[in-house]
Amino acid sequence: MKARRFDLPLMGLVVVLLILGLVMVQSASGPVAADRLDDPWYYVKRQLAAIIVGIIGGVGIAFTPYEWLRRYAWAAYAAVIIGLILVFVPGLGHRVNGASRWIGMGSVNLQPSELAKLVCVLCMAHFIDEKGGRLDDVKNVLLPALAIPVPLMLLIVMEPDFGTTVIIGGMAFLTLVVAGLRTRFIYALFGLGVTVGALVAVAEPYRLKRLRSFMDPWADAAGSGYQVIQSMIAFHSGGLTGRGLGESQAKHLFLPEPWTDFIGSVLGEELGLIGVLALLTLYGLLIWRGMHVARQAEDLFGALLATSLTAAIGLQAFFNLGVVMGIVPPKGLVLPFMSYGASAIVAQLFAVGLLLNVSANSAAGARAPTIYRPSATAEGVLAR
Amino acid sequence: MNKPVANDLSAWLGAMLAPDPGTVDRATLMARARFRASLIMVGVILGYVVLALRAVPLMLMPDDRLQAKAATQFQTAVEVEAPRGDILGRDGTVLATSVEMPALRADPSKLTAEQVGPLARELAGMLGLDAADLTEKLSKSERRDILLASQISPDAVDAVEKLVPGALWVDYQSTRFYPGRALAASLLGMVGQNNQGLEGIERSLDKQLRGSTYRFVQQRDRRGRNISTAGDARARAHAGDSVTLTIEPFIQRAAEDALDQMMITSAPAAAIAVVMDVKTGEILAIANRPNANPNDVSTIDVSAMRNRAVADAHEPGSVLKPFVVGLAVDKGINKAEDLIDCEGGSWRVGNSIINDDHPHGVVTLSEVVKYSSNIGTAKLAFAMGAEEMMAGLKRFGFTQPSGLNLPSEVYGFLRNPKGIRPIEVATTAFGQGMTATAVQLAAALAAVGNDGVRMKPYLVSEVRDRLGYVRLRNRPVRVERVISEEAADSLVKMMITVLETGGTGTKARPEGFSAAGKTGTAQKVVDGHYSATARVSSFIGLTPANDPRLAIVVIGDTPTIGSKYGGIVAGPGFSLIATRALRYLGVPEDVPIEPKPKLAPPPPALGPDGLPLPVVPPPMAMPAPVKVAPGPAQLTWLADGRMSVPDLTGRSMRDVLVAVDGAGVEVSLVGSGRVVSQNPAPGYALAAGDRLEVVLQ
Repeated sequence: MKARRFDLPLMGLVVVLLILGLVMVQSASGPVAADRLDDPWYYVKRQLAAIIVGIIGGVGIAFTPYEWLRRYAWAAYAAVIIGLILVFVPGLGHRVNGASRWIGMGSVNLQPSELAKLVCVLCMAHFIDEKGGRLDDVKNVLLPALAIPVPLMLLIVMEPDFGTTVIIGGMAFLTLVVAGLRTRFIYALFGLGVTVGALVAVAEPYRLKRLRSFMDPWADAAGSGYQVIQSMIAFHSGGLTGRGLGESQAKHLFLPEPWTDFIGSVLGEELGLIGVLALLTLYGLLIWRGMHVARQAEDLFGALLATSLTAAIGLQAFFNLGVVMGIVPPKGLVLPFMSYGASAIVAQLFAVGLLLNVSANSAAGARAPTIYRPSATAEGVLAR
Repeated sequence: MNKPVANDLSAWLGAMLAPDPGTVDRATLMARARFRASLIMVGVILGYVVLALRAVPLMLMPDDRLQAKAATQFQTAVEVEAPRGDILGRDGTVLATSVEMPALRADPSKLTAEQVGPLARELAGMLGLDAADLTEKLSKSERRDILLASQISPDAVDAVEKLVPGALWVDYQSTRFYPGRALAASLLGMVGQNNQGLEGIERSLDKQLRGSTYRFVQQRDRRGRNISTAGDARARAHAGDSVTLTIEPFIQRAAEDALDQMMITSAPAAAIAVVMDVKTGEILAIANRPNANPNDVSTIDVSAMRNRAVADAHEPGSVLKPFVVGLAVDKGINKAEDLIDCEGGSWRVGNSIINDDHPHGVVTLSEVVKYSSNIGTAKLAFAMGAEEMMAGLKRFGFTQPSGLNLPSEVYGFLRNPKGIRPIEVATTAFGQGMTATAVQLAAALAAVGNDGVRMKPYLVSEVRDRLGYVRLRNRPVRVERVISEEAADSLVKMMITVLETGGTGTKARPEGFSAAGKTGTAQKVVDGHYSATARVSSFIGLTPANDPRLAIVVIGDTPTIGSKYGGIVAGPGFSLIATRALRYLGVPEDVPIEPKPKLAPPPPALGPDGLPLPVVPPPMAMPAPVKVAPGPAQLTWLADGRMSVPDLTGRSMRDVLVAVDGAGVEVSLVGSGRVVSQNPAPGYALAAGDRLEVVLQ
């Protein structure tokens, strides 16, 4: 085996975000956890455990031979599909707030939909590359590629988990775009996605209500507009330099579970505009490094995988912060590497593992490639 | 370098824009993927720029709506009242203090409609509260913090907090506590919910007793609970000053007991006792009946807290006579032994006739006092003149503020001497057509006892701040000489006769102490007319008579059982208070104790021959005490200056104390009831400082 050259800046950025995330989870959850669970470190401990699991898994993935990623892509896909079905099995599935998103195993709960994001991109990238990127071959390439996310999306929307379904759809769409989807298909798929999304949104009255309260949260400041207003209050009271670490007022039950979706609000309140801009910069740098990995990928598979995973992380961060700042309708998305949530953290670190794996096999590692080499062949590896 | 790039650019632009490229060149494919990936990256980063542009105004621009909401939801203005200062008796006994009591609070928004009913019933059972009232409070689901009960038992705290965690919790509030319960309750007054003194000392010294209020902005969570980490705000509110009263708790207790006794024997509608130090003007006790326990804030009858000693001005009746007599003697109009014609008990004044209850002919002035002759006193008043008498009574303090500054104090009434009718001069002289409070009577009487010099009555001896620094210290204040020392001395001697056999106040004699006094039985004015039956029965007296220490006023308002005469109703109360107070003050006894049938020791055990059994002294354990013959229930002085111990068996605790009083013997009392054993045994000799142990059962 050749020496692997991982993208160290990418790794460093993730570590910084994880540490910042742990600090913010402690600050946001400490008082409530101390009050309710008698343990201010409860959420921090669980988050740290998830990070350790995620890092072990991520490192494993990063060191997995590049070609194995493709070899076992479909097996992983099948495993996730089984997991998504098990969610509905009584006794195994774990319902929270009317949604069956978890497979329960004692105090450890697995959320297969988080892994679904990964396997969807993995399989699509593998499939499209295998077919030589010939998306113009609608019957043999484009339609089968489009079919890959459909079972995942259907199972997840049944949970129901509208947000994750949209993310998978979006990631699939981006994968196709990067793979060279023709402009007219891009428009068509985009139009289709928006239409379906709008229909689904309107079908559920509560989503429409959410949308309306997004337009004017003050109309019902104590009801549907409550969360957004509380979040905006948190940001506002942060000011330029923040109230100081640990000094958030909004985290005292004003923000709902501030260690999850609204962790950005607590950060804004405690670390101020400077903290928010620093966070955006960290994410921006992360996206830049992720795209660098994509651009340096030695084959289409790596490029597609890296682009979709990076975009997914970047867009989740954008939508999460957009929601808490009141400029995007509420979605229920976590802030990558920051929000508390074991399955999400583990999946994000697996994604980082994939990115690092791709980076280690990048063209930059060798001389600049002049010709396309079919990937995952002995010839390709030897060509280096 | 530029040219190949431009070529590349045009190459993939052509490839991308080609209508139907067919099979794709893989290099173009990768190039297009990289280009599109870059576009996506730029798009996402542009999104972050949008977020940054949104964050700047959101976090930096003033926003009234957000600020107003934040200000109201995150903070509450809190006022912390410091605990009130203590009220102490002159011996340091705590009469009123502030204690932290648990108050039960609830967050009704945390309770479901189904929880409220059972919870209310359970709480009602545990705390003895009204279930319906609790249900109503707990049903206010829009509230987040509501007071359920202000003083719950500290024992119940743990159990209550466990009922519905988060929805019920206990908060500690400073609460007023009166360790003596009803002791001096009407004098001390009480405190309202808002920490404001409502009655009595609590009200008149509210400014001093009340601590500072610490106002601050408290950070709170969504449930309204304090999340400030600034420490205990209570510590920043300074406790109020503590007030030491001139009230002597032991004497106050004696006064309370005397009134309790009166309530049993005469059942008056109300009763008052005031004890004043003759030489200093200090009020040693003020007791009232009816009374109430101010600790029972919720059930207390406020009318029972009335301090009648200053709030009720009665026609004093005959107890006013000594002051008129004293003024007359002072003016040189009469002397004690001068003769006065009491007209056989009936005398016409203008169109009216005045009568004496006990008709007399020509008697001495002293006997006028002793027999309480209205006619004799009226003649003195005429001899003195109305102007002179009224001015003199005012000098005694009648119609003047007492100086105690108690709330709801009244000053009484005295007729204007200008244009007064003769009958009004006569009636004023024996205490009708004028009114006075018990405190005014006590102060006037004290002036007689203090050789004619009136001292300003006072109740507060000291005010100290929370650090112990003295803020105020009252000293005795001489007001003025009212009558000459000779007149005062003569008047006291006349008043001694009141308690002598044949006088009206024989029941008022203290045990072991001389006293000078005067009885009064005034017809009570009811609805503007003299009542045929209602009387205000009183006794005022100075004790001991030769050098008065105490001025005591005892009043029974409208006695309903037995005799209504002041000597009978109020005399025994005077006796009890005087005896106990003087013993407590260590005043030497100046008259032998008369045996009283009720309190007499049990007859000695009789032998078979009907003679008392000889008392056999127990064998001597130690040779030190000199053995002497058993004596009476008094310490008997021996030749060597020591004292022989009497046989105390069967005697009451009081007898024991009486027996050893003044001997300087240390007495140790164990148990209560009657004496069953003593050490040393009867007949042993003790010196001052020795110890006498007595076991009672």
